[in-house]
Amino acid sequence: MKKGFLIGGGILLAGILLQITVGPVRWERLAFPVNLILLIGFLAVMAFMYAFRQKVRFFEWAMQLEAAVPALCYSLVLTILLGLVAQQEDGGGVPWLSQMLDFWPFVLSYAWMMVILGLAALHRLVHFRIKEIPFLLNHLGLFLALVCGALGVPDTQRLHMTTREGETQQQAEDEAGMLHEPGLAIELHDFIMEEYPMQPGLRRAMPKRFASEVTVYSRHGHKQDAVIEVNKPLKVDGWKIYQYDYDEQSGTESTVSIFELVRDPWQPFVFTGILMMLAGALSLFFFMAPRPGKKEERL
Amino acid sequence: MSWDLFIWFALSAAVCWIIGAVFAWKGRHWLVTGFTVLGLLVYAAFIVGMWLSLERPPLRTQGETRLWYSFFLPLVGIVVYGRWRYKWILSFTTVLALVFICVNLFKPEIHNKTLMPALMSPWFAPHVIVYMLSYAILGAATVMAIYLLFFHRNKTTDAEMAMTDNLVYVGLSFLTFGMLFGSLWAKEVWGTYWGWDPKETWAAITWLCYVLYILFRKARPREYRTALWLLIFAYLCLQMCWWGINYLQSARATSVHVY
Repeated sequence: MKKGFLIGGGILLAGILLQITVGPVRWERLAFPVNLILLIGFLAVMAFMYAFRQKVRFFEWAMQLEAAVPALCYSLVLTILLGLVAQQEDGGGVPWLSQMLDFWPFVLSYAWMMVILGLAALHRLVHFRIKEIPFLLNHLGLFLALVCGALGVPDTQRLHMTTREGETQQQAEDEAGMLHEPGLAIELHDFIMEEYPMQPGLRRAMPKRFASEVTVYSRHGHKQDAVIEVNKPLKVDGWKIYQYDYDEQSGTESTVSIFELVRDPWQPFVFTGILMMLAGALSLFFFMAPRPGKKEERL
Repeated sequence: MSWDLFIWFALSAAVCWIIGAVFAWKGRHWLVTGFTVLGLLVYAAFIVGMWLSLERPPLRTQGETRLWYSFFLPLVGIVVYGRWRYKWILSFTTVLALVFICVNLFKPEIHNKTLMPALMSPWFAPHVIVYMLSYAILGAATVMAIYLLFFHRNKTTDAEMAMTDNLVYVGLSFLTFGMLFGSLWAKEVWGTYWGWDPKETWAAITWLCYVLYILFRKARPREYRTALWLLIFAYLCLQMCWWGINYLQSARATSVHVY
C-alpha cells in the first residue's frame, strides 16, 4: 500500500502546484460542452488504462484494492478538513481550506478515486457474471452519481421569480441579479401562509405551511393550474418550480411569492446513480454481507 | 382512536416484543417470530386507527414520527433475526423501541410541537428511522471492536471478525439508505441532491469511513487491529455527524441541520 500512499501524495502535491499556478478550480468554466468532453476524455483514459493493463504494470495495479485503500484515505482526510473548517463563499477564511470544493487536491483526490473505482467496475463489466451485479450496482452507481453530479454543477440553472397576486410574471433573476426569460410564465392567484397558534415564550408564531395557487403557462401554450408548496415542487418543461420565499415583512398577509426555478440537465444520470446505489445497498444487506458460519451463531 | 389509548396498545406490544426477545436468546425461532409479529400487529392497529381518525398519515409531529420509529425497530429487528439469527438483535431493537415509547408516554406535550414546512415530507420518517437503525447497528459493531481490542487481545478469531464485518455491512447498507433518502428529499425541498451542508459533509465522512473499513478488510484480512481501530474512528465521526456538529464552530453558523 506504500505505493498507493506515495501516488496519493504526488496527486496532493500536483494539486497544490495547480492551485498556486492557475488558482482554484473554476467550476463555471466546465459548462457544456466542456463537461461532456471531459467526461468522454475521462472514460477514454480509463478504457485505455484497462486495455493496456497487461503491458503497463501500473495500470494493472490501479485496479486493485492496494490502490483503492490509500486513494480513499486521501479523499477521507480532505473531506474531514472540509467538515472541520468553516466554508466561506467570499474567498475569506483559511486559505485554500475555506474553499475546499474549489481546492485542486480535493477535486483531484476524488477524481483519482473515481479512476480506480471505474477501472474495477470496468473489469467486472467485461467479465460479467450474475454474482457481480451487487458490486456493479454499488460501484457504477457511486461513479454515476459523483461524476455526473460534479460535472453537472456548472449546467444547473437556478433562477428566482418574484410574483404578485393577480399578476403574471415571465422574468426571473439569476444569482448575479441578471434577468432571464425561462420560457414559462407564472400567474399568482393566492399566496397562502399558515401559522401555528402562538406558543408561550415565542415572539412570533411558527410557520406551518407556505403555498402558492398558480397558473403556469408553458412555452407551447399549455396552461396548468397548480398549488406549489414547500416539499411539493411542480415540474414544467424541464424546469422544477419550488416555493422559495415571500414578503417576510407582511407575513401571512404577503401578496408576494418568490419561486425558485431549477433546471438540471444531468439530473437523470445522478438520479439513476442514486437508484443503483439504493439497489446496491439492498444487495449489500442481502448478498454481500459475509454470512457467519455455524460457529459464531452460538455467540 | 386517540393518544389516550396509546398506553394500552404500547404496553401490550412491548410485552410481546420483550417475550420475543427473550425467546431469541433461547433460539426458539417460531415463538420469536410469533410474539414479535403479534406485537407489531397490535402496534400497527394503533397507527392505522390514528391514521383513520386524523384523516391523514400520522407523520406530522415529533410524537407521531416516534410512533413510527418504535414500530419499525422491532420490524427490522425480526427481519435481521430471520436472516442471520443474531440472538441479541431483538433485545437491542426492543430496548430502543421502548425508549421511544417512553418518550411518547412521558413527554406527550411534544405532540403539539410545531414542525417547520421543510420537514413536512414523506421522506422525513424513513430518512430518520433508517439512520437511527444504522447508528444502532454500527454502535454494536463499535462495542464489538472495543471488546476485541481491549478485552480479548491477541485472541481475536476469524469468526469474531466475520461477525463484526457482518454488522458493518448491514449498518452501512442502512447508512446508505438514510443518506440517499436524505438526498432525494433535499432535491424535493431545495432543488439539489447534495449541498455540502456540514451535516451532509459529516454524513459523507462517516459513510467513507465504513467503506474504507470494508475495503481494508478485503485488502488486508489479517490486520485485525488496524481495522478495529478504524471502526472506533468511524464511530467518532458518526457521533460528530449525529450531534457533534451542533457544537462545531464551523457548522453552527451555516448548517440547516443544527437542532
